[in-house]
Amino acid sequence: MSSKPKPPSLITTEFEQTRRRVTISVIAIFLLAAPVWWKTTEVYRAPLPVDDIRAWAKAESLHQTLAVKIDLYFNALPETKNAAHLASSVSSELATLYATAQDSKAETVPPEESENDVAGDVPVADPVINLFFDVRSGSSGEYSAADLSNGHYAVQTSCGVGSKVMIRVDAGRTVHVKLPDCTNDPFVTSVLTSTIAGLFADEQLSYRSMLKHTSLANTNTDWENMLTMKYARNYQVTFSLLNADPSHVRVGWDIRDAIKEYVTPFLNTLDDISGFSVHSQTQNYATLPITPQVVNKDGHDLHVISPDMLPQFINSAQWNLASVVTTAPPLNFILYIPSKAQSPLHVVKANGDIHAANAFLMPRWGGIAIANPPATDGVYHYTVDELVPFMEIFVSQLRDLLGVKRIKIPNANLLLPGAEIEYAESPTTGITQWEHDRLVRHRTIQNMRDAVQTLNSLATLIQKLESMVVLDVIQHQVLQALTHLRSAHSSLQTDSETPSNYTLASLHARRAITASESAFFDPTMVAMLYFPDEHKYAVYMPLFVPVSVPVIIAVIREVKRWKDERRVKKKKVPSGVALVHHAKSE
Amino acid sequence: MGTGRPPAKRPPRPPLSAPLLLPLLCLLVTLLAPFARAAPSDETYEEDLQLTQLPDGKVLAEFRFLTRIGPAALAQVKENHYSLLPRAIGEIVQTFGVEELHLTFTRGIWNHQKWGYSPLSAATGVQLWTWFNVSSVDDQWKGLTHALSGLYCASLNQIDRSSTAEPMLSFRPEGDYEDDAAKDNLELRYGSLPHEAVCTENLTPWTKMLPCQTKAGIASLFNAYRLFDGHYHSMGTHIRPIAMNEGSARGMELLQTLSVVMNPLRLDNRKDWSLSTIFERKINSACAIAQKSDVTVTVSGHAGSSFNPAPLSTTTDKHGRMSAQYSLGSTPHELDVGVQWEDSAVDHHVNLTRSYIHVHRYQTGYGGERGGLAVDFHNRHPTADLQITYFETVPWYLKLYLHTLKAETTANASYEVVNDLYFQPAIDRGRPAVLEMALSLPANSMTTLHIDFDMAYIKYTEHPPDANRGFDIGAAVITFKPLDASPESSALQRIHTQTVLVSLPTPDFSMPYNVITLTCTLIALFFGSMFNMLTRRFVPVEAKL
Repeated sequence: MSSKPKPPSLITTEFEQTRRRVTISVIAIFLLAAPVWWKTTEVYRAPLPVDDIRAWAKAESLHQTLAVKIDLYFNALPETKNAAHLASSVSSELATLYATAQDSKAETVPPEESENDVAGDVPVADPVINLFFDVRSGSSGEYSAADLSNGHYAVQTSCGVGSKVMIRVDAGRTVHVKLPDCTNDPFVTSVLTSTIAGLFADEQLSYRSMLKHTSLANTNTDWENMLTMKYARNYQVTFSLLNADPSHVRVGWDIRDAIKEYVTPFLNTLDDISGFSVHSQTQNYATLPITPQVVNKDGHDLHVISPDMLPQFINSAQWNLASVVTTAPPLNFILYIPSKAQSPLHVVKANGDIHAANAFLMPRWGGIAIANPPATDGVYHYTVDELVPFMEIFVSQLRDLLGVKRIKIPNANLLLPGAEIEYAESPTTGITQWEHDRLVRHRTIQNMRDAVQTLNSLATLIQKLESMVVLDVIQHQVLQALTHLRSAHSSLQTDSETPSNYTLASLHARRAITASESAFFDPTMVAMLYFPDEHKYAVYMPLFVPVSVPVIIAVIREVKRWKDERRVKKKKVPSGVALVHHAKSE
Repeated sequence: MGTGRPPAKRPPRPPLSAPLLLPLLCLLVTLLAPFARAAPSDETYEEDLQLTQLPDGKVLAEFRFLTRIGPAALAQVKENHYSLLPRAIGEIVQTFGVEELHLTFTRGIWNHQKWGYSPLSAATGVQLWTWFNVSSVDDQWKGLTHALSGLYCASLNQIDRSSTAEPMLSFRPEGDYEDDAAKDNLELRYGSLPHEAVCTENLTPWTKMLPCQTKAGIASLFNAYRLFDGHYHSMGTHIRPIAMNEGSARGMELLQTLSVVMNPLRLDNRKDWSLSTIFERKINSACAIAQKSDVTVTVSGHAGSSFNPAPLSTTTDKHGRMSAQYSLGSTPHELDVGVQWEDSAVDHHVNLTRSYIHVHRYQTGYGGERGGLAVDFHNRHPTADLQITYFETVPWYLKLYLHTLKAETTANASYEVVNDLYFQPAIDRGRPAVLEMALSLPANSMTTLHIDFDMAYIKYTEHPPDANRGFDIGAAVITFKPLDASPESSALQRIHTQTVLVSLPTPDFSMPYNVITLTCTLIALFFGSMFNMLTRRFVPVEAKL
């Protein structure tokens, strides 16, 4: 039952056009929808100044000249001598000394440049931190301690005193040099230069090893860095009295007063670097996880712990040392009272000799001292003066853990032959100003470096994970960190008049590290939270595959037809015939 | 710690110059000497083990560890110097402004019909209520639950806003306060986790708070295999302020309790028992820290029982129960107390005179859409009407209808059962529904409360991992004054109902992907056919016949 067909050519042309329009419009809709789909499924990513962050990772950004101002004062300087002249020659000699140091440094820098480090790690070229000394003669005869600050020191030279060179490094920011004779200019200059250069030599070295990313680092200073706690804004210092067997002797201690007397003054001097909260506790029935060896010495049985057993000393499963309410890194100090069966307990050196202090330090953990109270049954109470030796141990361990480095002139007998050098101890605080200043400078540089590294790791993480959400608060913290980095850097910059402002720089460096770490450790910045893209495609697959199959087939057919048409046109065959032929073949 | 490098062992560098300090020190020491030994004296620690043989042959062991610190020691604690009080507890109390804290971990249910009432009975799972003395209570409560969660290895952090209640009638501060105004300024928060499976990982941190841990004293009996093998197990931590002397400054009391019900008949096939048969441990030594360390064994006045070893003294109370006292301090050798019986008969008779109130709570209705909650209160006392307070907190996903609340009693239809009612409607994901009622139960009657609810269809991410198990509704708390208590005493007795397991409509959890796949297929089919209709030409084919 066929009706009369219309001329086939007309139908097909009309139909062909419709078909073509439909296909093209569907494809057009797909193409237009794709950006919309892309846009609407996008996660929020606050823009971060990645270029700025990467710029900081370049070695030059951290190049720094730390200016130190030194005033020279002379007592009884012969009339013929000019203090200002002496000062300028010391200054130029120091400059030569530290410039040579810089040159030798330059050789160790690996030649390759790695600016386009895609991995985002800090490039291997090391930044250079140099000390620069600005030496002047003091305006008056005597220094005044109030004028001195971090980065500003005084050297008081007394001429014609004693028979040999005597150098006394004070607890304050001063050095006293006593010279038997000041008439020989080169001698005076060399003594002063050696003294000043010597006092800062270790510091200069430590910057070099700190900023070095190659394995060339000096193993000795590296060892010390592994001992020092990572920088934190707050630490929790806990003193624990662990008594192994209270049925034998119950032990108490006057720790509150001992801490007030010995530890608090020390920690107070450091409050411009970190905050400390000090706790103490007593625990009973604290048994050791190790069994000390028994040795017989001079007819007595001793229980000894050899150095290889010390890492297992802490019974972390049973001793309650952690706090449940704070995340500040803990520093633990333990006074351990052994049980009667294990008394007396001693720490021995590798060669078997008894360690006089009976104490040891756990790197990045804390310190342990062992006490063997007199063998009495009942109660033993440690009074404040009985605790003094232990507090001395604990404070010295605290110094090591917090990175306080002793100031001393290395190779003194080579640099200053025949000189007598004396280093003053701080009577009450346990830290001298020299040591404190050096710690501030060291932590400033370290914090700046760590902030840069943290920001770079963050930038890498965000660049790698396209689907990671970056909140405004992260952006804010990153910007803040960068601002503080810039401020820290500019506070360290110096003109010829003023020394670097270390106090301000330290403050900014601290804020930079805090901001960068809180951005990095934000709970939303965890890679595990985000699906890999494959999961997304798996979900879209059931829609996209069945939808695209007819479209693709239509497109292929259309293209084929178009090619056929062209071929037919070339042969100058009337199009109607070709199309009819084509339609039949369908 | 174990960094693989040789441990740092360094000679000390005394940074303090002794000569300068010595005179100063001597002065300080002479000044401080009188106080030096005085400081710990206002801290006391006592421990006590109460073993009771119940009429049905089970043995109830109640451990109490009581640490009290006086005002002087509390002042030291405020400066973060701890001696007897565990630091973890002290830090929590100080950081979150806690005045009073009651936390219990319980497995099983206290059968108050058979075993009578116990002050140590608690709701199944975890129950926590805390009185705060600070203003920003909700933040502190959140911090507290998280800290306790870390301390006791429990999922206490899941007590969020949507499961925190503020009871009005049932709980009162239990510590010693200066006056009533001090009590009124406190704020209460209550939360519970009925589904928490209490086990050794909660017991271990709990025992670490004890001054002697489990190394000496009665706590050396803690054998987790046996403790968690009992019919009922509950451990509690209770902190409250106390006045050491009348009117003096306040100290703090930390009471740690553990009660466990064991069945010697099951363990040993005999009614006789001793510590070594029920715990597989003996008490080897006294805790050197404890001032008092007592063990008491009680049997219901049943003839033919004997205590072994011979006790220091025995007493008989007015109910005819015989108790034997032992003290750890006076026994140098190991202690293995127990009871021996001449006959092996067990009395399973329920003694109703000692537990005249008991409560049974259950779910009514069927299907996944609606349900009801019913509570039967039995007052088996022959003559006395009893006043009780009923406290119920229901999660928001059960939508209670207050108008359906009915109270019926078997005694007398005209009897006014409900004296007072406090109802707080739930807010979705914001807070639970709280129903608190003061009821008076007529003598020798059964009173039934009934309330209907709708079950919410919750988001699929809100289901727990074992979604088809259902949701536990925490135990209701019934508070009343014991009948034999004197009128002026504030002692309260609490019993807890069973938890109720409600199964909400539970989706198939592969559903989201199924829905996506199905929808996509439909759309693809639709699109495909439409597209083909538009782009293909359908030419009729002449049938060749």
